[in-house]
Amino acid sequence: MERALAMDNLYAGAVDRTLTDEQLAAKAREGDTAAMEELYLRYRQPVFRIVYRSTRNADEAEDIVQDVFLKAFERLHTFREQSRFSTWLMRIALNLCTDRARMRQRRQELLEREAEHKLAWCHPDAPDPMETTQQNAFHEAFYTALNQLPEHHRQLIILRDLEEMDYEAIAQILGTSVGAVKLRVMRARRAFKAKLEPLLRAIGEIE
Amino acid sequence: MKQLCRELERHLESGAERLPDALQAHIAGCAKCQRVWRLHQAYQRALHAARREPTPACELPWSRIQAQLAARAVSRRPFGWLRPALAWGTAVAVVLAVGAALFPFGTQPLSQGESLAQAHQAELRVDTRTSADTAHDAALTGSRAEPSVMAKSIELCVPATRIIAQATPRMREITRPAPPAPETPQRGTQATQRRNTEILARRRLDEAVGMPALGSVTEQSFAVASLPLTPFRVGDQSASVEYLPISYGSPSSHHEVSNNEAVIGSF
Repeated sequence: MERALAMDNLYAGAVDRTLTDEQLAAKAREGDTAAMEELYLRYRQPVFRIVYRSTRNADEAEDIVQDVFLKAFERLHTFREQSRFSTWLMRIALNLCTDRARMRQRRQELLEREAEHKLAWCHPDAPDPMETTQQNAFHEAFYTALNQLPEHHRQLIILRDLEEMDYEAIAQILGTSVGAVKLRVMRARRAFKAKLEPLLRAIGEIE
Repeated sequence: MKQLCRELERHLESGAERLPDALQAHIAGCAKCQRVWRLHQAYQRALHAARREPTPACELPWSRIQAQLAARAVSRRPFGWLRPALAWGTAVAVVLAVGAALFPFGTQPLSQGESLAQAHQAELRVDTRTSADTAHDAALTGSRAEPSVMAKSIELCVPATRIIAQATPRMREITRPAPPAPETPQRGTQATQRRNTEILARRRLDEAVGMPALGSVTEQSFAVASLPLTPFRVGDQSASVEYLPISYGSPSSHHEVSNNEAVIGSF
């Protein structure tokens, strides 16, 4: 896999790298594979980072990244250039994350039923908090609370507080106004803190 | 006091990490706001920690995306709809074929010839005995119980068929010239020539009417029928084949056509 990455970096550049995303998207729409590859190399890691923050699983995140770019390149004709390519791509990524989260939630509910509601609050892949260090416990509490949030709240926390995107970009990604985004972010933070507080109290982070 | 509590909430929701002095003084004396402030600080620490957490590198190579794109493009080629359409078409054809096999021709509309044949089938009872058998044929055939096979076929299928003539040739031995009697050479020569001419004429006549010679296997009846110039089917042959009557026979039969009828003969 590392060799494949190295080959990607070696052969990338068959297209002019000074071209903007939108110019590359126009070339890719006409079937220019080099333009597609350049777009992929530009946004592979940013998309992966956002998806990984949502899934906390590298393999699953890679699957979603693959789906994101396949969907994007197949639907380039729907990209109207009224927004930036990155915004359009992130919207696809968030939609796929939402779909995957729904599937995961259904699977989780089945698992919970089978386990008679044991470990219902815990992340399925989370290690035992007692065996982790304080820092890890802090991380786990954070992501446990994050995963307990509804998907629309989780996405806003990731975009605004973890990725530190500005409100305008988030508004473009979500297709809404800046004021609506600010209001939603405020509600998402309240919900997040409500989930986070008992967990932080449990690990002694707050009194 | 409550105004400062709301002011603190608004301040924290705006994302500020430091508090103005007035709010800090308020927190020192308000347990609720103190709790809110500590939770906010813990939240900010968690956020910082999460932001610092290294994200693993995406190791998905471009070649994998490219291969997937190519595979999907193949499955969505311009005439990709043709394959399912052909499959459906084939399925419909098979169903129709099975249906046609189960219900062969009963529900198909009859052709003109078939309907005419059915309409006249019951009333067509051509008395073969009253047909124009010649006295010679009657004498040759004697008491003939049944008409010929072809005559039956025509009677059953062809509308308004009139049997003009019907006969069954009887096999007979071709008259062979007797050996010439001892005569005078002149009279004998003339008689022989006359006898030979007669024999040749008989042979030609026999050949012309198709009369089998002695030693043939079977005797075959023949019939001459008249029928209107409409399409018809013959016997139990394929329903999709229709025949038009044609003038058939010797030139003497052509007068039958003048009545808008055709004469056919079967042998």
